[in-house]
Amino acid sequence: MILKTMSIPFIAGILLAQQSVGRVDLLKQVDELQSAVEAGDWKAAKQRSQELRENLRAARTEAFRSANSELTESVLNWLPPDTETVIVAQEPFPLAARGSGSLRMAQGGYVTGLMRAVEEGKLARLLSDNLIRLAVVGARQFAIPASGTGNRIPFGIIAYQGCAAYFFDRPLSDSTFQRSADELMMGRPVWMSKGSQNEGPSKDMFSVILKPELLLICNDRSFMSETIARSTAPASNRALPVNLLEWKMVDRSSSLRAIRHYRADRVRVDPSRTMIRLPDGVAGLTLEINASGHIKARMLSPSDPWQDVVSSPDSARHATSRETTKGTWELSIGDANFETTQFAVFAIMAMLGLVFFI
Amino acid sequence: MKRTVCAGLFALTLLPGTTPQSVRVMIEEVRSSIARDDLGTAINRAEQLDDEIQKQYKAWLLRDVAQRIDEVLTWLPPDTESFWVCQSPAEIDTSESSSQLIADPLRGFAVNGLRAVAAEKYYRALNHRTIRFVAAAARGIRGGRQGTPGPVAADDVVYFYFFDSPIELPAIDGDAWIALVRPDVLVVANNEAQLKQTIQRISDGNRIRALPTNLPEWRHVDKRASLWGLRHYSQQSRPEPGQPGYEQAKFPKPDGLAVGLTVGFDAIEQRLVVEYMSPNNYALPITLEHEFKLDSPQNGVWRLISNIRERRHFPVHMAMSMLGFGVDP
Repeated sequence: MILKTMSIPFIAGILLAQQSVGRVDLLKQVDELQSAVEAGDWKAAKQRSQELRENLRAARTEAFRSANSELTESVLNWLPPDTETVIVAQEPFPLAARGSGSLRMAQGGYVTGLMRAVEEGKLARLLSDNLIRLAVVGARQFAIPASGTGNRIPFGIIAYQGCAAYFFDRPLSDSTFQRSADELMMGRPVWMSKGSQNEGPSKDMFSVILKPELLLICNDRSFMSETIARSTAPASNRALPVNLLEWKMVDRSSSLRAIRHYRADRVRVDPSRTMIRLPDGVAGLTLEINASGHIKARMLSPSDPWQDVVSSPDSARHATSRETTKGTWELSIGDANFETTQFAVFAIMAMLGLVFFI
Repeated sequence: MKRTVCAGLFALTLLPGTTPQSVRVMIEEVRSSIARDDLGTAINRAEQLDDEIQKQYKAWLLRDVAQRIDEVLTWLPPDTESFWVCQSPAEIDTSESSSQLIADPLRGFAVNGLRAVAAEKYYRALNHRTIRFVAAAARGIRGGRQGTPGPVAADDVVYFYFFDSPIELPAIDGDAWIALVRPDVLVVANNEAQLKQTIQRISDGNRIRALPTNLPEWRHVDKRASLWGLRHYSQQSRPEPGQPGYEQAKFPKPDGLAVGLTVGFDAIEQRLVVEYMSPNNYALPITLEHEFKLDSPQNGVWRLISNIRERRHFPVHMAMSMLGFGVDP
């Protein structure tokens, strides 16, 4: 708990000397970079500079990791127990990050979706230079979104109830919103705005600065109030309990991970189940994306659920599937092009519940 | 302003052994931040330093582009009609799809000529190699689809790829018109005769240049642009009296009295400028009026300007079609 309120440089400083690429190594890299620069060898300098930048980022990620692990567990305890899907993005990234890789697509299109929807997008623009050191998204009650006009399903993300917890690298304040809070919820100032992650009618969205560096954004009042309540009074039950098999299937060190434990009572009403062809009896799903964009997804299923993904022309032969242990099917997508990456992220996020209607 | 800054950096890197003071200061800041375990500051400074070093590296890659382009012009036949230079260094990444390359015209036009040869055999062999700059030329250019940038046929097309270091190629197939004329310079042509003539002119040490400096188009070329080019229309490229488009151009085809045109695309500003020289009047058709703004800075010069940040890649492809190079070479 103390760690959460420390300044980031202090956390980094404590851990830097203990890391695989420690202070001495980093200083040696700076010396090598300087030598290349002084020699006018810009090709070598470019290489050294990129390595230094990457190693410093890796050191930061490593420095955040142990604290992030603790914070993630806290958020999982706060989320309502019937939360069906959780996404954890623990590779620090600036809100304004752009890119076409799988990690960037998942971060930009899904993890920060709620942030971009509130306050007519102004909050995301204001915080665009800030670093998100950890984001945890919880979702439930996936449904067909209400259409604006006619019967067409609106373009964009499926309807759901959810919250996203964004941990920044520096404290926020009430002035971040540039206006007064709209109401109090459990004694916390809450900013309410209209927003949507699809082209359907806007709905009420709620934002609260739960801790100085933690912004919580929800698209459902009951989801938010329950999350705030559980954050102040620990409950015995938690979302996606630790004994779920899915937790054992997912690599917690990956840059982004997600799990979904399918709810038996929503098989026939959840469009992410009824609109996506999956074998009968699927129980759960995990996703992990590492820093280089490699995707691994695993599903608890009596038969191979990835056949459609692997055989799709969009996979362009980059996707493979195999049964790793009995009843666990793994999809792997390595060094893929933009189309395959886009297709894979869309497909797996849809299976996680976050269907993107086009 | 940015152009001036870039020019300044470029000048600095031309001086051997000169290190910009700003780089020295940034290196020292990174070092001291790491030494006091201030990782947050170290990362911020390292990112700024890396941005600066990337600029220096880019300027170093382009250190001799002006001299090399003058040289390339002497390697081309005197009746060369169209010529462009892409001076935006690019590392070849074969995982990029066609649609990505179309959406990023600088990268697309940097590698299109290479991709078109032998089912991408040589392009794939050169994956992760860095192209410093590319020059391309064409003659005998025929048509192009009105209003829709697409393939434009030309009798002779030749590309010159300047790499950052010597390259090696796999065995060259009999129907691939490709040659390594210097350890780091690759020539790609669309036919055997064109390739042989080019190699001959290089080995002969030809001094007569294509598109001579007294052509009026050169006065309108912005050689600082990331992508620049010019075309001096041949008689056969222009419509005859009575043919469609004789009195007013139907781009990418010129009108019957057109002299030439220039293209300049500034990647930093994302600004495209096409200057079309013709005594005939010109007005934007409805298909282009959202893509370009039109004015006439002087008599006989029609200037089409496009904000690529807003309009995306279509206008660049239209401009390249006007030069005689479509989306798919």
